[in-house]
Amino acid sequence: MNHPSPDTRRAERRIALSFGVSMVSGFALLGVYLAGGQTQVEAVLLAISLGGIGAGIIVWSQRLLPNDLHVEPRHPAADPASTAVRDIVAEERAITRRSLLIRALGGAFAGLAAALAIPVLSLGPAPGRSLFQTPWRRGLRMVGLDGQPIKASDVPVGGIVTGFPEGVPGSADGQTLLIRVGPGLLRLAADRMAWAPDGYVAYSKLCTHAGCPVGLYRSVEHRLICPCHQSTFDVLDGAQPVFGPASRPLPQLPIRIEADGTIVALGDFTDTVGPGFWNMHDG
Amino acid sequence: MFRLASQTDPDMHDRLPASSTGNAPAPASAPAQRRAAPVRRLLAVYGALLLVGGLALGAVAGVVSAATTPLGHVDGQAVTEAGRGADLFLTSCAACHGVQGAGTANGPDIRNAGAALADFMLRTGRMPLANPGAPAQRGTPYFSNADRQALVAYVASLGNGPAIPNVVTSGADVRAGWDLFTANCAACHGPAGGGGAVGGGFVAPALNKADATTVGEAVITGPAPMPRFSFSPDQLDSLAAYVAFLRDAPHPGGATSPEVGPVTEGFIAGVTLLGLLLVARWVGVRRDTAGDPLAEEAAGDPHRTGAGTASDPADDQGDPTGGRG
Amino acid sequence: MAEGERPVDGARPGDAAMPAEGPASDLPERRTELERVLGWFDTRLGLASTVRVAMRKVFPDHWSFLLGEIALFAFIILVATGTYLTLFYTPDGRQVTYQGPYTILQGASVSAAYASVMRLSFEVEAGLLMRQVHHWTALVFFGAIAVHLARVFFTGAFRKPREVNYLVGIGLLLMALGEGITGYSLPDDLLSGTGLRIIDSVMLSVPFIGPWLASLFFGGEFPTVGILSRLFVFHVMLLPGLLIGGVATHLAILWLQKHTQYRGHGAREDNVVGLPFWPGQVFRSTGLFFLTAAVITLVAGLIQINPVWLYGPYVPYVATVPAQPDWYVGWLEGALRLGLPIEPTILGVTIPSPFVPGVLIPGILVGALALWPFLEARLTHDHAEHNLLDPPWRTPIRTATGAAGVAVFLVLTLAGGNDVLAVMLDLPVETVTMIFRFLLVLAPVVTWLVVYRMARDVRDGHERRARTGTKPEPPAVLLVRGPGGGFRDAEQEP
Repeated sequence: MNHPSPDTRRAERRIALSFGVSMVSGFALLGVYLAGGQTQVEAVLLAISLGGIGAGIIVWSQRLLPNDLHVEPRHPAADPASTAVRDIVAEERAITRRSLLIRALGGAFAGLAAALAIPVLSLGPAPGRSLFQTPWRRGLRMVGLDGQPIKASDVPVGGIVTGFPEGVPGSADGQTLLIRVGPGLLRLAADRMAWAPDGYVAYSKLCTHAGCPVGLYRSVEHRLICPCHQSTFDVLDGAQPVFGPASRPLPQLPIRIEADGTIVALGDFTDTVGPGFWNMHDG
Repeated sequence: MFRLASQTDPDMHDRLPASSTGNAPAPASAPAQRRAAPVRRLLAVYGALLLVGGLALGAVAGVVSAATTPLGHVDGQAVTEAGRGADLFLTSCAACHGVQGAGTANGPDIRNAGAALADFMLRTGRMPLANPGAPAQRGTPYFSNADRQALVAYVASLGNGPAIPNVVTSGADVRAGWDLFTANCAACHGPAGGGGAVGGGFVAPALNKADATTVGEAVITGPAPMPRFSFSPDQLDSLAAYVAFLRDAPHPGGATSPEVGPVTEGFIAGVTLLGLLLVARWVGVRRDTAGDPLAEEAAGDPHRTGAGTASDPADDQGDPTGGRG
Repeated sequence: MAEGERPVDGARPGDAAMPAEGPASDLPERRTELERVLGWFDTRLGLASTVRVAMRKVFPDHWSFLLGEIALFAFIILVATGTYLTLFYTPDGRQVTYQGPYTILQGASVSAAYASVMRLSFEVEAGLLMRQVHHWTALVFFGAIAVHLARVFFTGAFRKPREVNYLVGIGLLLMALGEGITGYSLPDDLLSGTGLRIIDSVMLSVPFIGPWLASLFFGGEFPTVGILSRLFVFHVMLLPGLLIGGVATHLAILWLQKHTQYRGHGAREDNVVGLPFWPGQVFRSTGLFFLTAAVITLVAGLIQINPVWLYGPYVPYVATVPAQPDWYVGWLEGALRLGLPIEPTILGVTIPSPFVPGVLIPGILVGALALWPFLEARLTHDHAEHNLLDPPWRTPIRTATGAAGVAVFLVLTLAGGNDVLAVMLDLPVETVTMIFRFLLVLAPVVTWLVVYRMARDVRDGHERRARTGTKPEPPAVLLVRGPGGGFRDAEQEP
């Protein structure tokens, strides 16, 4: 067959063209890179370079290679008459007091597993009281991210700021929302009402579902929403959950407004902040 | 002379009058189209898939640019200059907000809204509403500049509200703006200002059309359901500068949109996968060089009902790409 | 008779060259370059006679067998680009001051990890391209795995003797998910940290061991500085090592057991009909690899992904909306979003609300998927070997069950983007959530019934035709489920 058919010739030309485009594109990519680079141009050239090779190979296989079907016999993984497994097991059966030894070996492995737990347990501290507590303590002032005390006058009616315990701005579990609502709107229990002077009320910013910061506030309806799973809390009603997967209210931070306008905590949050865990109510 | 944009003229919804600071935003549709162009070029590779992508993008764009048709019509020529604001208020606002702006069952008390909130609502076309229950979304401004100014002055005279802030972005500290934006705004408006759902049927709007004054007005007045913030003039300048920066944020990685995020990315990944399935379909094409030497064996197969050809229904495993390839 | 059945051991002892396909008359008389090079190796290693048998291995001829290959090639691209990224990434959660060219963040306190990703994106020439290829490939990788799994499931390729390899595949899927989640977390941008926060909460929710689990994984109470270096070890060493070993096992078992195949072209339970490994399958696979790389590169270079400079570094007190994981984790996120606000305390043990949707339901779904081959064998009392694939209509119960599973997956995945959908559909997000809660129960049931009925009708039609030798009458009504969940009649293709 020294004289390929016109079809074959055409296919050869197409494949050669494909590889040629790929080659040119590859060198062009190098040029673009050396000239300072441009992500989009580089990507297009790289794609052409890769695609040219791929397309050429596929056309090659489809047009120039034999494509007739082949048949290969197939046999079951194991001959049903095979006694290989039985033979292997039988060799082991000859050993006496088998069950006792197996049990003893099992015990040894259990001991080893217990021993290997030691490095695993060193991966982190034992969960202690830290989950139940935040840095908030009686007398701590509420500060902004810059560490400066937040003043009551910083929060207009319908406003909201994120505050932290004095000394730990940016605290992950001490982050608190200070919200100011119109006079007479709050519907809190009598003891909690005292912690929300002049319509200023402070709640933990950590969602009680999955711990995301509950940062979305619809001021007109006084609803806080978590951006992660849309748990919604009613600010006027002690941040009780009204929609979404959260089932506990955002814990309230008891606060007082000092004469100079700063906000001071009267203690830690009313409850464990953030996501739940099995013994959270033991705190 | 101002004219109402027809509902079928989407470009009109993007047109805004020049703001008081002279910081008029460019028609936002132009950059959006420029960014979308590579996406479309890419999707064109997949032919029919273009339609699907286009529909989805259109749905997003449609929501973003949705406009409301204001109630009623006011003949601005018929009223005298002095009582113009009051008259406009009576005809266009009092039905919901009450004659003295004290509010009714259909609309809130706006006596202390101030010039800032009134200007925000009117200049961005959020007010007047098409009907009392409609959400206040950005739309085509209903009033001419002169009418709006008269109306804003009248609302400002009703009570003690904030004045229109003078927000200047040139020379502002953009870094400080980023801090403020991340801490206070990104929660609802998204990290790139693309907006998002905030529950209760409310949507925090995309900020790509908000000019400096609009940003300032919104921040100090808290247009419902947005909370209010006590920011200093410097902070307002910084914040507005960062919002302006976001409008033309660098996107060295290629095509993008303000709504960018894993959902959009997942959709594009799906389109890419469909493209790869088409590629696999092409790669899997076998061009028979020697006929089908085994066709005679097929007749003996009890599961088969016809000759061994590629069109046999038993071979047809269903083609998730719709048979193209 | 085809060449594959010719005895292959009859070659002359000195015949070191790779056997060429096709009639001998096509071969030129003189030795080619390739022949000389391979001959050099063979005279030293003596592998050609062994390899030659392997080269004759027959691969069935259908494009759907290439889906797994796309996943494999995506994995190769991930390893290649990922290796490049590790040369620049710093797995360090400690704070540094950003000094790079992105002016907005200059002077900001960010983690060293975030700073290194910023450097990759803005300063390393072509670094952003590598990052975006890596991320886009990851998204496509899971899509390829999903369609490959769907092909295996709906055609019954998992049946005896392939249960073991099916389980290896499920293991690979889980390890790949681990790779995706750890990779998503490494840049330490706002979305990364938010994802970790949720993972921490799901770990905490496990009764009795939750606080321990979270503390051991994170090295303390969230957020911890050391978590990034841990995730880095998982992402670039432990999981890739396991994945490479698992992929090798997956392919070795495949090679040992030979492919399944569709009926037709003389395919029987005791043979394989298709193209030989060399040159047919090698050419196809090589070409497909380059084309896969080309398509992904094109998308990756033209469409921006995960702009970490806009999200900003993770700080625990900043929230952002919308906050989504990458799409392949969307079903887990969706389950959490649809979760009910129930936290019962039973005998002093509180079951936090993320436990059921975040641990229990995913565990049941993955468990059911993994155990399906054994469940099906038990239900059908079918313990025979199967090398011929079923068309989906031939097994209505399996197909309907699989479709119901897909429906659950789709509902959960879409629910993971409920807030984005709410904006697109102009509905309150609460309404969207309620619709999805409803659909999560309804969609699998309806899907099961409709698909079962459709498959059964098609099967009955084929059986009638096989019995009578005539064309089947089309089923009276074929219901097709529309995108809106409604039903419509559809004309069946004969």
